[in-house]
Amino acid sequence: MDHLPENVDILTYFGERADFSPDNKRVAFMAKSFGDAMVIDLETRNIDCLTCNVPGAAFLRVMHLVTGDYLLIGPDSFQDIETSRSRDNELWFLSKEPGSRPVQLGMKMSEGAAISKKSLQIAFSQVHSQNPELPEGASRIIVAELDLSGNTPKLINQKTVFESPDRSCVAEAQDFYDNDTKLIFACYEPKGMSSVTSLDLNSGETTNLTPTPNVYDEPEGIIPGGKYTLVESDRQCEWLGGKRGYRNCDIWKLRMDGTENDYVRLTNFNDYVNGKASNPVVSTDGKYMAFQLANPNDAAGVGYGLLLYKFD
Amino acid sequence: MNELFIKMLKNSLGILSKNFGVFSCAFFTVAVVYAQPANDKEWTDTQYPPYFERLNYFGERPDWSHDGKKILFVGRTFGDVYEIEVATGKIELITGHYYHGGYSRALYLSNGDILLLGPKDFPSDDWREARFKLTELWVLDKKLNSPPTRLGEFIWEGPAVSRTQLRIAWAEHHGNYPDQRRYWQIWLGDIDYSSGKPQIKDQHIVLDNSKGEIKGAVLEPQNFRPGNEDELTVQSNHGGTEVMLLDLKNGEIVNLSKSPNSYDEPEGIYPDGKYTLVESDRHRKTGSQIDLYKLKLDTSESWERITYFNENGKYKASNPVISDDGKFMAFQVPRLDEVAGVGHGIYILDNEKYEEAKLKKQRKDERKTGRN
Repeated sequence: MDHLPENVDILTYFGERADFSPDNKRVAFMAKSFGDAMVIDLETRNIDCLTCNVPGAAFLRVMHLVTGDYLLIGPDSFQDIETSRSRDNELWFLSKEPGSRPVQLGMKMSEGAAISKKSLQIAFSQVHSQNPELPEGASRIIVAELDLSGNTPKLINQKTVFESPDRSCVAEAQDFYDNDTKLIFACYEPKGMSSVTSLDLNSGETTNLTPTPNVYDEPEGIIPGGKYTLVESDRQCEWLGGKRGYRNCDIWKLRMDGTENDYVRLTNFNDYVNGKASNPVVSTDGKYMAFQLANPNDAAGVGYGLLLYKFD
Repeated sequence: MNELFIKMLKNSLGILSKNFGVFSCAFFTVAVVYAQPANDKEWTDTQYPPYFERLNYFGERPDWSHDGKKILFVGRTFGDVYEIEVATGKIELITGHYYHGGYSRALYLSNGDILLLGPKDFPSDDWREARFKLTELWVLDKKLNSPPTRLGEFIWEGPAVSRTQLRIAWAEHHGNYPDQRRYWQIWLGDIDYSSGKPQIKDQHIVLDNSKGEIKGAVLEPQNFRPGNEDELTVQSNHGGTEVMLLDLKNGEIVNLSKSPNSYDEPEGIYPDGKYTLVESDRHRKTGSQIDLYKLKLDTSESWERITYFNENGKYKASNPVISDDGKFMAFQVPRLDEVAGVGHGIYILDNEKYEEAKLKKQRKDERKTGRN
């Protein structure tokens, strides 16, 4: 952190899982896993707490909806790390009005969600832990809309858009693109590997955009325009060494054409012992990337502060 | 600090209600200095005189580091603990490296380790149970490389922590230990590291509410008196809430506020040991509409009102602490309807600028009086 490139700025000294507001003036983030959701004003750098009025708040993720409201992800209450992160993980709506309290949407889900930047459409996945109807190892992606027209927010028009019968591909929705007609998702594979996978929401056709085997490539934020996505990748292990998988990742930029010919490393934190960068997101104007400093020894998602990367 | 609870307690136990008739007849001759009389502009959480500065926008219950460079605070009641560097505003998360049931308070010990207050596990969403029954004492190593050590003592509300030795005082009551029915006790103990991990030793009761003026009172220790740590400021709710001074050598306790019809809770103490900050509602006498006052720690009942956030009945100022060099006060500005202890960021008062403003105001008032 003492030798950052000129285009990288420290935003906070704690926190993880950044998310830009629709107007790019703020970044929401989690103080820690199973903690409070916060938001930082990018101009003043003032930090506000979004969930400090919730006793026992134990959220894992916070993301902006197109309305400026928030989608929270996490358990109703903390039990233990495994149970709370998998079986009890669920979706919550939090109004942007100060002092609002999160409202349960009644939907258990796995890991994170994709949120449209144009509408109230979201996508999320489920595995056996959240939905026992799914066989062990199976997963599915559901697309739904948030209905905010009534007194209580609710999920409507739910549709399963992808199903995987086994552990050959455990899906996690990441981001919409191409006018919300396509979805990028992580396809977690055996032996701790992952591929960047594209799903055409009209045809249901999937494409592996990182077909090289035995590599960890997890898609994160898509760069506006839909040509490139940010990826947590372990490809630098080819020359740095170290165990392959999510623990030794840095942030890469991938052209989403399936060739892997245009795949550029953006961060070099994994060059250092106990260093990595993760969970990148891009501002809607494409000018900035927010991401976190992380440690390969921690669980995925754990961060030690947010950084802001200015694109050329 | 706990005016809400005291109201609840009055209703549930009936300890204090018999004295209400006496309060209305009470008459006091109290010397009060008003530093900044009712202002032209309303004081709010975003509008205040220039001798104040808002340090951040979340968190509550500040505690100064011994060098005055950092402030420890909790993000929320039963949340995480953070430390902010005053000069830069840089905030670090202190309790993010392990899972816990949340903390209600965090204070620096004299060796730089951190005394934490919180339950082992948070009981679903019942903050009252967590706050009033389950809160325990913990010590977190300043290296932040391990979870805190559990000291094995329950605590009622906040402790007094010595700034010069590894000594603390804390209160316990019936809710913590059911055999202590209707009893509030103040305990004193030292934190001993000789075994390799912190432990409380030589703990003993220094005050209980079984007799005398404080019979039936809710007791809470606040601060060891700088320069004479054999004296302890204590909050006693035996009618109104009073500022008391306890002599730890002989057990004598003196009422310094003597205002049974107002809420006067001692808070941070000045490093010269001559004054204490007080959360007081003596400008309204409603029990919860508090602002910050400075009280001389003798029997002169010399008061000075420092803040006017409550002047318009929308906000209050609370939980003030003074830096060890006496130059700055840290505190919070909650909305009036919020539970005691809740805050939305730390505010700083620059004492030098405050004194300048006070002098200026006095001169202006004198000129006005002269003209009239």
